[in-house]
Amino acid sequence: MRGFLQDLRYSFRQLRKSPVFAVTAVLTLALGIGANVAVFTVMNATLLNPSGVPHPQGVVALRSGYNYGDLANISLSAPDFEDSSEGKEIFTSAAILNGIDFNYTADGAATPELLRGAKVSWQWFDVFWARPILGRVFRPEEDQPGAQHEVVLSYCTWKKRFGGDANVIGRKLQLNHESYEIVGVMGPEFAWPNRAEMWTPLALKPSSYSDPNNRFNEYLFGVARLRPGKTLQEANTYLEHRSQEVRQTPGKIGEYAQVSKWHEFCLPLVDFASGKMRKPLAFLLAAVGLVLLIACANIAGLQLARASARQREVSIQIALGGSRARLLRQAFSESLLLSVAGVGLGLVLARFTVPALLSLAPQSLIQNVNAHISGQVLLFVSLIGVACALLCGTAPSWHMTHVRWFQALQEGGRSDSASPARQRVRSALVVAEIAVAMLLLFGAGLLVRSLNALEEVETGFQPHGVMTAALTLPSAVYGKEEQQENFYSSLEAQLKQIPGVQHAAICDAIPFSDSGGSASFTIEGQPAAPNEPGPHANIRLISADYFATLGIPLLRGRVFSSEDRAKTQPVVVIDDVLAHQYFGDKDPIGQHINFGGTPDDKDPWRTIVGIVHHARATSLESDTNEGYYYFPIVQVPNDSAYIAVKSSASASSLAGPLRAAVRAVDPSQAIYDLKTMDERVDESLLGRRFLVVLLSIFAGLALLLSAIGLYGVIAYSVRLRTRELGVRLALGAQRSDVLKLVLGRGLQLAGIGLVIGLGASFALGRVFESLLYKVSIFNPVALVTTCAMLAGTVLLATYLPARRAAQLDPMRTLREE
Amino acid sequence: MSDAGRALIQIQDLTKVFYTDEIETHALSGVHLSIEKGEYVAMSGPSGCGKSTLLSIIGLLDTPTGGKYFLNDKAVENLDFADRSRIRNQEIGFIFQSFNLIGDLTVYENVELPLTYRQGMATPNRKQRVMEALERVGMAHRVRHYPSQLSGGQQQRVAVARALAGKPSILLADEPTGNLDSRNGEAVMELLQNLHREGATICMVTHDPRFAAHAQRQIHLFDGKVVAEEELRKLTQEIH
Repeated sequence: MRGFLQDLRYSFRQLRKSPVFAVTAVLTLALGIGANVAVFTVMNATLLNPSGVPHPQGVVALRSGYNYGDLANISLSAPDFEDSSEGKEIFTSAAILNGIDFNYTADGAATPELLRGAKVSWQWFDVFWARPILGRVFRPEEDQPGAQHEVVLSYCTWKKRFGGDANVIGRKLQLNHESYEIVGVMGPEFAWPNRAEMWTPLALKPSSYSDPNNRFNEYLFGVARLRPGKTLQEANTYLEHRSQEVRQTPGKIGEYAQVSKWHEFCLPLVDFASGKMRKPLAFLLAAVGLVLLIACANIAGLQLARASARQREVSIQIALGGSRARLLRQAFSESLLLSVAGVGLGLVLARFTVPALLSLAPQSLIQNVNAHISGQVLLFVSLIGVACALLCGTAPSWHMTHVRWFQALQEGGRSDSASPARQRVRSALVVAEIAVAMLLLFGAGLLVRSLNALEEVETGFQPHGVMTAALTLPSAVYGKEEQQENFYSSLEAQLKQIPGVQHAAICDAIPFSDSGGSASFTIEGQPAAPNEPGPHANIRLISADYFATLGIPLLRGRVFSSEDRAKTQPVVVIDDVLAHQYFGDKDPIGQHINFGGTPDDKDPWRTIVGIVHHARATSLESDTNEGYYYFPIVQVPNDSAYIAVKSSASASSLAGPLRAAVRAVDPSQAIYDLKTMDERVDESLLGRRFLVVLLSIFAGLALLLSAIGLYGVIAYSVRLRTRELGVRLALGAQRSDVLKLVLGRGLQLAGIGLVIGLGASFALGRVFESLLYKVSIFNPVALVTTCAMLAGTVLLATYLPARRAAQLDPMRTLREE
Repeated sequence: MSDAGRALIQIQDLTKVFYTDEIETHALSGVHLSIEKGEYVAMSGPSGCGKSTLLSIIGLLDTPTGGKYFLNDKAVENLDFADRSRIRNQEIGFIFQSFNLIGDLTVYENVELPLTYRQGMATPNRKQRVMEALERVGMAHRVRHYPSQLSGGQQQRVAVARALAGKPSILLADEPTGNLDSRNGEAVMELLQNLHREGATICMVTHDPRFAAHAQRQIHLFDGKVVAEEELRKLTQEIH
């Protein structure tokens, strides 16, 4: 131990003697380590240890699915949840949730605010092992219809709206025009789902859990905690067994479950919540890992050069009886010191880069993320610190302990410094760095091309000039359909009076808003074939001006008009995808559809009056493979809605007038999620942009570090070849000849690195391909751009030492020799 | 100036001053020198007398502070680096004390090196010149060897071949035997003697009177000036 401390002291003195090297090495390592820690911190917070969920591996998301449409992985119904609740052998607790937003008017406030909330079954907090810091959570008897007037506040809401009042328990607050009593406050870590600001009891009727007709009414999000020792596979075996029971039930329910291959299943909660982040984050972690490798290669190269310079000193130690083991320890202790300093500075950098990273990430993907430098992160950073010490120290240590010491002593330590073997190691390191930089640059280039391709994708509607917002009508005020219809009619009239507004519409879901549902339907005269689940498509409830507002073209027939009222003939408009899918060559106009097949007052036949162009629903990257059918919202009212207005003025200037229009109809009604359609479409690319921006940053960093490495190697080789270059100049070489000679060496190394990097890129094509959109891995633009960037950087990195070489004074060079 | 028309090298009142830390060092002070075509001249003198500086200026590796220098009747004292490089490559062959062969290049490539800096010389022509030069020094059988695989004497013979390959107007040898044992030193001197007999112009710096004696004419330098042999002896005795 004493010897080790002595070595550390000696290494510290050595580093202090070379401050430029020490600072460069520590900064390089800190950049690499900081980037790794930042990405790992986000990965840890999203995929490995989400905030507020102890032992997240034991929490599963309960899901159901069908084998048609886009229904492979959807929410669950109350009876589905009951199946999971009964699995006491498998789950310790299970709970369900229905998302809801509350109109909340603070005491003395003029306008209402919207709070994100959730109605949850009483065991919700037990599943997450979440305990309140004040008060309590819900009791079973509070999760009953008519008794649902308790609320648990999130930590943020308690702090922000109640000033962290310790006596808040028992206070009342008005939510959606109803009085609720605060019974608990959760800790700062827990805010599932989606940074909820408060929770109220779900309070479903007990019969909902057992009513077989409710079986396919999937609108609930379920979670459960596995019993200790139980696996995901065992849970899925149990759920499949329960699904099988439903499929074998005699009657319509069982038949439909069978033909549609309906089933229940579960998946890890983190996969459900952050599954979309898994691949991008894994990709980014690999990218920053490669950046760190480049940084280590750079430092190894610099240390090799230092090892050459210290050859005489090492030779003296060997001559005096120093063992190889001792020299090895000495060599590694320097790398260890550098790594420790790099880790320390890297952690400081990470503290600043994690928030920056999260600010770049799409909010929809990091809603449950509370990224901080945790114990797992510290363990990770310790491991990479050790890895860095080994990576930076191995090659120099080997060289230092394999010195031709006797020769070095005789020749003043100069003989081995230019040894071809050592030069080859340094050159190989630089080639590897350039290959890795090429790989990352090319990857970033391909992703940029994909992003460009996506930006060109047609949405099927005209987002420009459209402003949108959401609202939820409280059932206490708008419980009846007539009340909802009156509100929407009045609001539509108000919206159309806003100066500059050309069209205004109300709908249950707006494209690119992660809202809206789908449902099966029946076509009159076309009963579903045996073993077929029947037609299924996305359903939207819209006002008359919806298509005009969004600029969705009418292809045939007509769209809705003010003549289509609640009591008039039920009508429906379909899109061309649905028409093609279910009507083929037959003319759909005038055909009838309904939900159940047998018409009645609640579910009459609805006449298809028009066909519109298909519009994308959620993303530019992928589209549903199902069509749409649209009902007039006045004929099928809904308590939550989106507002959309098309204006000749700037869409973003409409936020104020939109709020005013809603207030004019009902001053207590809040609106939220105010965004232009351009913003919504743009947000659908945020995940990809996040990846592109970060990968570009890391690729740029890799390029910079490899350029520094190349510069180091070329500058060092120029120093070693000074005499040779002087001789060449003396023999009549022009300065341009020397310039070309040195540049050629740099380009040669870069060329080898480029070819290896490209080879690796093509070999890893499958990884790239899954992240690409309509771009081949052989994309010529990405290829040429990447090669040009790399060549330009290499030329610059090589030019500086090459120019110095060309400026050598041959006479002085030869004299110094 | 009439002499300048006949002489290969004509130097008039040449001076060279080095400035370091505000100290002026006069390395050459008014040197007059003429070397005829086909002449074999040895330059000698004590350390620091300016003989290497003079050779560097003759070899266009350095520029004089003052005076005139004509090479093949052309004033070369004020040429820029590119022109000096071109003339050095075509008119001057260097033989260094430490051989200065490039370790990564073979014997053939070392000899070929100055020819690669000439514009428009075809490869067959270059090959012919290289092989001729190597045959003249008796090293044609070692074309594929690297310098490290040769003895000191052989390395110097390759260096001579490199100097000859470009068919220069003059060979400048700076202590060509300084790194060789006496046997190899004699062999190199004999080689230079033979080249002179074949018509080569040689200017050699040496401090060894035995080797200086091989030359047709000896020039003595002292304190940056050319002095007669008698005067040099007298000045040297005064110092001691």
